[in-house]
Formats: sequence, C-alpha cells, structure tokens
Amino acid sequence: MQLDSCRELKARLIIEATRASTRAEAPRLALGISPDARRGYALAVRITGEDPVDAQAMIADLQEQARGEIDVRRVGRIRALSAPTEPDAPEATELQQRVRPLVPGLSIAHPDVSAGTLGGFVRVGGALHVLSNNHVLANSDQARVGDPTRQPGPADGGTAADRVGSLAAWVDLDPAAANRVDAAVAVLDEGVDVDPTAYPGGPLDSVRVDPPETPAVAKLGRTTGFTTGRVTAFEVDGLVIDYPEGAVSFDNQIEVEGDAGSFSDGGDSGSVIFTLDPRAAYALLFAGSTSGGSTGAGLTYANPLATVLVALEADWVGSA
Amino acid sequence: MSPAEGGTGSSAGPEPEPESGSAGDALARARAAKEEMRDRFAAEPRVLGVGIGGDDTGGYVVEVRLSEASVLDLIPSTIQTIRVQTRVVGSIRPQGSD
Repeated sequence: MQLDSCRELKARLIIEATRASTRAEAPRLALGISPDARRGYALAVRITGEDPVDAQAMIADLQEQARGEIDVRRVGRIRALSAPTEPDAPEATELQQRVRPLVPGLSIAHPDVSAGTLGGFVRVGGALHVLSNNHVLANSDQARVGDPTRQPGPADGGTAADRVGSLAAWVDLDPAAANRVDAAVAVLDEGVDVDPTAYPGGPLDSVRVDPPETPAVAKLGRTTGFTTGRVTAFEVDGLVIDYPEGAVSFDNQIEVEGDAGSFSDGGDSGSVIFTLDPRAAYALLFAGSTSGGSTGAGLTYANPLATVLVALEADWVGSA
Repeated sequence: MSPAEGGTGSSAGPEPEPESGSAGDALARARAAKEEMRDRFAAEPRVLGVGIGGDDTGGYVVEVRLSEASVLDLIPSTIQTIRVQTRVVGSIRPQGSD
C-alpha cells in the first residue's frame, strides 16, 4: 500500500474505532503504519485488553477495508514499565510453590512459623546450608536444633512431606542487649538439590562489606517477588523492632526504600538483598516499617550479610 | 551514596591527603554526629533508630527514624554541622508471613 493511502485508511478507521469503543465490551484498538518489505506500507493494528469478545469480527472487517494489507497483533494489556522487571525473575506465586532444586527466593519456614524466604546458601563446617532469619527457621529462639525446615513454609501448604533440612544454628535474639543479626541456618537433607546461582540477573559471587557507592539494590522474596530499591540509611543503631515476644534493639542495620512502593512485605523475611552496581550479596532482610517511605509505603530493614556470615561462622556460596 | 568530593579535611599539614581522605573524613564526621544524636535520644522511646544516609550532593547526613510525628520538634536540624533527616516510620516489625 502507498504511504498516503495507508494514512488515509488509518484516519478513517480511527474514527470508526472510536465510535465502536463506546461499547464497553468492544476491543480497544491502536492503529498505526508499519513498513512492509513487499508492499510498501501496511496498516498496523494492535488489539489491547484482556479478552476482547468480538476481536475476530473486527479483524475481519479491517482486513476487508485494508484489502488484506494489514499487520494485526493481539498484545493483551499494556502496562507501564515503572515496576521493576528482570527477565529471569520468577513471580511471587511461583516462589510459594514446592520447588526443587531449591533456589533463592522460595517460601521456607520452621513448622511453627507461617512462611519466610530462603535467602541463599552458605557452607558451615563444610556442609551446605540454607540461610534465612532466626524468626523464620528457628521461630525466634523457640525452636530446637534438629527441628525440620519446610519448603514451602506452612502458610503456603508445606507439610512434613516438604522437609528439605533441619535447623542447625541460629543467633539468639537478646531483648536486653544490642543485637546485630536475626539469622539462622538449616543443614540440607541428603539428596536435596540446590542451585545457589539462580538470582535474577545471575549469580552473586561476592559479599559487599562496605556501604555501597551507588545505592541501587534488589531482592527476590516469597511475597513481593523481585523488587528494586535504594539504600536510604546504613549503620542504623538503636533500631527497635516489635517482635511478637517483645521489642528487640539492633545496631549497624541497613535501611532500604522501594523504587515502586514497598520493597518488601510480610513473608519476605530472609531474602538476600544485593547491590546492582557492582552485583554483590549485601544484606539479610528481616523487618519492615508501616510507613516512612516517600510514597507512603513502609521501609525495609536488613542485617549486613557480612556480619551474618561471621556470626554463623558461615561462608557464602554464590556459585554452583 | 558516593562520598563528598573535595571535603573539608581537617588536616592542614604538608603531607598531601590520599584521594580517599576527604571521603573518609566526611564519613567519620557523620559517624561522630550520629553517635551524639544517639546518645542524646537514648532514653526517648519514640526515636526508633539513628543512622547515616547519603544526600543529593554526595555527602552524608544523619538519618533519624521516629515512631510518631509528636517527637519531630525535639530533633535538631543539624548536629555537629551535619544535616539531620527524619522520617516517621510507625512501628517496625519482623517480616514473616502474616
């Protein structure tokens, strides 16, 4: 089709489509012009919306008017890209399923805890362990060494059949002192396969110790999936966390604000927060506030991962 | 969160400071200011935490987190010449699933 003809047809169809779209059930059309190697130009039609009921009839009508010189595609709902996207990041609903081999971000918990997040993998005394929070794997000091660890956690349907390991060690939460970490490790049962590299964007080969020079961070968690944010404060002391058992104070903590709403929510505890430039594991997410973010959302709090590893005498495992 | 360039290093001696000196000084000053803020409000239950943050110019500020706005008037806008930023965060809870 000649370019002028294509423009004329497009203008006419826009008027007709506008009339049609006054019906609530009508498909929504976007009309344009696309280059066509064989015929010069074609009318480009993009049909949007979840499930337009009479899209086929409309396509047939357009085909006739454009004498077949039409490039039509159904594109579903088009969303703004303000929300963070990472091509290989699983959806939160996937992270709440039973998944083997184990990967970072999955739902995990002690049998008496609802659910938290499997942050990553560490080696303790040569054996591979999963890393998360004390309040996820050790039920805030109330568990015993050897208690089972379930994936998914009980809140996501995890049962005794979903055991992947057993509680090996944790750092006590002391209500009378300045705490540094809310962390625990569970040793994996024999035969449970893992993939420590499966973070969105690729493996986290190193652990960041110092405050990042660029504040951009991300995490993958059981409830809110993959989110990005920025470090808004570090070396936060006297941070008072309201545990169900009572207030506990922490020193040397990291604060993160989400780029698009909350960086985290209940169930994301245990996620490993990583810096994006350069990529490195940085912090262990454990708490969130009810407000304080610039958009009204809450803020996220995390232990420095380097401190966690020292406290648990663990080595980070970032590669297979 | 990059440190301040060309900060006001306290050393005036003949030895040139290493390039990272000014940044280290800026962070050291922020840490000292944070400590004073923490000591000053150690007995105030509405102050939930005191930390360090970055500002728009690449320098550092003292960050103060509060449980409620009623305490805002008590918090100074600067401490040891370091700017203070406050946020009212409500309560902070562990993020296990509900």
